[in-house]
Amino acid sequence: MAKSTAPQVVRSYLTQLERALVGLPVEVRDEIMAGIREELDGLDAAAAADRIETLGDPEFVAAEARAEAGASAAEPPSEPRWFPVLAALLVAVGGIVIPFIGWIVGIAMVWMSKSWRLRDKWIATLTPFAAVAVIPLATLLIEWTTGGSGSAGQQEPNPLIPAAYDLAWSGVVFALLVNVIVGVWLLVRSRSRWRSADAPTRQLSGVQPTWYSVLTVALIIVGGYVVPVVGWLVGVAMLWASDRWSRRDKWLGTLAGPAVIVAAVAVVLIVRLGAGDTGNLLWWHLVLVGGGALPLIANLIVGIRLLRR
Amino acid sequence: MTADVGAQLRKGVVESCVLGLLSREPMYGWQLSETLIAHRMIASIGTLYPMLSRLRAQGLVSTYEQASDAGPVRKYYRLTDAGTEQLNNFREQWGPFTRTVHDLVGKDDTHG
Repeated sequence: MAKSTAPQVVRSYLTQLERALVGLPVEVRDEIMAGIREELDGLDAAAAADRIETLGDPEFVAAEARAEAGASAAEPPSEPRWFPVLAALLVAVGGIVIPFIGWIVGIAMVWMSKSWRLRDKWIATLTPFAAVAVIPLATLLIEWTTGGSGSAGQQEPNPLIPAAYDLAWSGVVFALLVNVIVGVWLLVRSRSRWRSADAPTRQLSGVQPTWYSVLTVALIIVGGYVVPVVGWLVGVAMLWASDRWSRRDKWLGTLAGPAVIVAAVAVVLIVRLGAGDTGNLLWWHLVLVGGGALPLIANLIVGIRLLRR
Repeated sequence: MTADVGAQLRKGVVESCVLGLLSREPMYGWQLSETLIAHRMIASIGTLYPMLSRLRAQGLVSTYEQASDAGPVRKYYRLTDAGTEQLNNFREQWGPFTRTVHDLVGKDDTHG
């Protein structure tokens, strides 16, 4: 029953620890938090309290970490604040201002910057390619499914399948759109660094404020209805940028919507093929309504779960 | 006083001990920390992670994630080729080093 929520003792320990670790290099802080969180994840209150006893006082853990991190001394000099901001902006809109080259410069700056971890850099670089690859795949899927239901040997061009030229164009437009989202996401990610840099004067800011959690969940649930797809994507980006949720929760929040859509489409396709392609229009209406309503329901359920964490 | 000597000694070798542990099998943070604490090489898990970050920055260890049977996805640390090489260097030097130190400080003549 209480299994969906981490025990109070865990949450308060993690909060205290996060506060105590302020001022340490972000990688170290993240790694300590992740390491301890993964160990306390899924334990009941008693077992967790036991582990926490072993771990020791958050201040002690932090002091030890600080001593050890200080021992490595040679922290690389920090880069100017504008550098990651410019990099993220170039990723977001550079490709629109100077086609392709603007984006390349942005990505190069992202790779040069110390504001992001390696994983973030890969995500920023590869996401547009992955997104664009979805289009021909979707087309193939349509071709395959409609081809499967048509009579054999028919060679008429299917109006549902766009020509190569259309594909290329929608790919470019889609990539530009995706890059805007990636750029915003990069900005969000790099902010966690500024926080730690400002640490001494902003002691409490390391802990995620409530409005951030609420906004994240709200965007995942209804963002896609306000600004189609993009609203939802921003919510998902904020979800992944956050420290509050575990990896499993993040995947859950990300995949719930797409999963029900895929499931709904699969069911409709199977039923439709089984029924011998009758009532074509009706079925697609069902897909439309289902595609609108089902993710709302799924995301609502997941959203409530996320907020209770 | 003696504690200080111990701390200084540990400081020089604890990274190599991490490499040594990881050369047997990949381990996750908590596992490493428990082992090192049990052997009194570190005082807290807080000591471990800055060290792991440093080892990773030097390319001596790498990480991967793996789900455990019990549930949580864990980040495992393993030795890279460079790490293995570093460990072998340490092993080669450690024997002669301790012998030398032993020769120099080994006998307590004054209290013989």
